[in-house]
Amino acid sequence: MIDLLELRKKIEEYVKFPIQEDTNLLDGALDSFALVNLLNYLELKSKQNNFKIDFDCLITSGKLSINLISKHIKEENK
Amino acid sequence: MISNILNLSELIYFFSHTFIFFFIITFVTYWLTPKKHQNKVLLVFCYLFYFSWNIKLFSLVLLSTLVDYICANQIFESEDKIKRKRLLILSVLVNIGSLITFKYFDFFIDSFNLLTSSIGLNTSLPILNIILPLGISFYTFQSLAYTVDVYRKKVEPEKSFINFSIFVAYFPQLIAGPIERSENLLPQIRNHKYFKDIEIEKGLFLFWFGFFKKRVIADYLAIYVERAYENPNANSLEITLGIIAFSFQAYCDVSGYTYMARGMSLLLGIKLSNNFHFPFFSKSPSEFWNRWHITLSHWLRDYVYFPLLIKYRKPTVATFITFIFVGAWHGPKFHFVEWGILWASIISIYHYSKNKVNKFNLTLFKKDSTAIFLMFITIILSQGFYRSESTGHFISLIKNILMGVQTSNGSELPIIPFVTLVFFMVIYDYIAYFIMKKNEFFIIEMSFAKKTVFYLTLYFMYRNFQNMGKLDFIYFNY
Repeated sequence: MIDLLELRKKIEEYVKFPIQEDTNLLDGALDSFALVNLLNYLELKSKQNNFKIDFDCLITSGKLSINLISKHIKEENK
Repeated sequence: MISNILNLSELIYFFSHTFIFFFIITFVTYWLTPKKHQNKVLLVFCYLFYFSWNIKLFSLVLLSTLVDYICANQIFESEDKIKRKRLLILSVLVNIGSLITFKYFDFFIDSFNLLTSSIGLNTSLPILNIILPLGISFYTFQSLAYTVDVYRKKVEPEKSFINFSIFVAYFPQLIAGPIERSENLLPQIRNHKYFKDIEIEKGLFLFWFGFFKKRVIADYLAIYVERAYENPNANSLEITLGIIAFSFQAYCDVSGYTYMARGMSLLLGIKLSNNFHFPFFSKSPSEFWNRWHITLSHWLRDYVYFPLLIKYRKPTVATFITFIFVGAWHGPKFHFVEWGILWASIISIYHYSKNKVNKFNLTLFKKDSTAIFLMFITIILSQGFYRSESTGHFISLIKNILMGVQTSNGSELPIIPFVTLVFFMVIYDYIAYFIMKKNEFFIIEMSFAKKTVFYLTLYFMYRNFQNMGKLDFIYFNY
């Protein structure tokens, strides 16, 4: 549904340093403007590849990582 | 004799003899009760704690508990989107509705009367003098967040009404937080707790150090704050000390309460969240809000800021709306909203200037020590602004400092206690953060001799720096 390598590259472009799959992006890595870019990117991909994302559920409790994004997309589109 | 020492109206003050007596009875009864009845006993003590303050207003705690218990369970069981949304709206209306009614109703009436009289209409609606229910700003947020989390399918609802009632009315954090998330607190309430597992030394350390922060540092510094803000004849030195003192008073007051809450909760086998993480060593405004009153900041981030960001994709707009909300949460005064706008402006300016610093490679501003120093000044000034009566009042204080006003009336306050208390707190936090690598419990890991020196120092300071007046915790008014 989503290319995780491409997603990682995109996020590294926003945060300007290398990240791991489990790096918490809300722990100082992504500022609000970069987060909006990420939301827009994920929304675009969801439209292009026809899958659902519930951002209200995805971005809560102060944790967001590549692993969590991937898990969320899998669960939302079972 | 006992009735002279114990006074029921003082039960809500963690530092009172009455509360210490109440807690010892709770602790002993709780641990002597068989596991399957332990939570029932805990709930009785939670409700007794609130009853001691006001039986009638306890009904609001009960209302939040009942509504959120029923709504969350119904939301979970229903697949009907409209029904789920209506139940969520009901929970929001009850929690936010009771908060607005009891906290802001008189303010709205007063503002309406002022507005109508300013345009020549004479509609003087009566002020109802509504009592602010203790802890309403905290337990409504905690209970509402639980229902939202169930709605978002992040957590499953609690089946036991007793467990959920404890979650809403847990007395160590009922009045002034930390605002706990259901995913942290409910499993701990639900699970059996064993006496052998409790961290007694950590619990006692947190309780007594919290007591020290509140009763010694915060209450003594209050003398300097009052002189600066409430005495029109204060000289420039007194105003400067008062403005600096308020940041430390607020920090030690609220973090002192949290420490005491966490300490006694540990003794009951429940770990509460940390609410302050060395905020004076922040390097940016956003970092400060991740270290100051953390559970409130994170609540606002998850239930106000992120939803706004997701919906409108405009960080500056989301920041301003969230901080206006933060300001209004602190009390029914336009000045607090101005304070919220001030912080939103600081964060926005910081964000835009950060890009300039990167662009022009201004290395001085990239240094951690410079960033911490600049943030420290920002914190002192913004908290000083918060404590003033109005923007005009704060500007006049700053003017008096800059003009070097010398008109002190009566005896000047001694500077030694101020320096001792502020330096003690800064040095303690510096050691815990930089030398002991963010370990707030480094004291209990030290040798017996060092611990003895530390506790004797606290005792010595307690004997010498006591403000004899019993001051409320600042957040009791929220």
